[in-house]
Amino acid sequence: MRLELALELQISLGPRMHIHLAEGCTRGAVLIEQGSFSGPGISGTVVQGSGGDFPLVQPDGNGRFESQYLLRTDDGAFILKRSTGVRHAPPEVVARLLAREEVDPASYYMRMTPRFEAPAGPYEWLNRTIFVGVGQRNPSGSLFRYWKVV
Amino acid sequence: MTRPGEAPTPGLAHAFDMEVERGKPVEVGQLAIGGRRSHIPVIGGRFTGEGMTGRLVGGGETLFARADGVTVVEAVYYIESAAGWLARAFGNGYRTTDGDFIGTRMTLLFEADQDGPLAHLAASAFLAEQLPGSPLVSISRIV
Repeated sequence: MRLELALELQISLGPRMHIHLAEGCTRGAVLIEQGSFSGPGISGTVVQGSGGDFPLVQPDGNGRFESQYLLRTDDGAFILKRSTGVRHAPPEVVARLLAREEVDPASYYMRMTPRFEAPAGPYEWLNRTIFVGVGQRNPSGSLFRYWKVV
Repeated sequence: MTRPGEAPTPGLAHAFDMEVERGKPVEVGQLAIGGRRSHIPVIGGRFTGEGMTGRLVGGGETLFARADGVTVVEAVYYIESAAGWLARAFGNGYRTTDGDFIGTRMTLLFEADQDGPLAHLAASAFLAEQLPGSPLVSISRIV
């Protein structure tokens, strides 16, 4: 198994909403305002209003991620993206991330495992490929890079 | 190479080999959503890696054989370390029988007691691969 860079996605996020589930345990909800993506043989934009990121922050500051939104390729195909992920970071890094400060992305572990639902045709390989993603938070949004497992 | 301020490039580090003993499949049938649903219970097995050995104490692989020939696998494995600590591995992926890759690949996450010695498993994502004819599921930590 090896990893091959397949997709780069830049999104800008709206305000973060919170669901306080229990002491120290919060589900965040951040809707995507806009975004674009590109990779070998594929490029397009994120469909506005189609979804967001829903991180679950645990009392220890670590967390799990769920995200779901829709991509639209430049040639008009719609692709549903769903992803789960893990974040693990020292408490001081978590505090800075939650305050939306700029944080060196090498100072925390954040890996995603996205899945795609694509129409039959040139993008159907997305329906049978496992991906590994790395996220980088910055004040205006997030940059995700997805590698396909080959 | 990762430049300063740029997110790291992920890698794979082999973590565990797991041998899964599977029970008799249960066939649900052809579903209206366009595929065949079945389930294979996990009845035992062994794992070794990262300085640990242990056994599988349960779980299952739920399959959805799609019309495009790809089977979606949703898996749960309960592992027990030799010292008696439990963890739940769960995830999903694809089983393919043609194309560039033939076999099963899944991503897995773990849950374990937060104060126990397996808690670190919950802090990473993992990748699992099983090749046709091989008894082993090879599990790599996504680093």
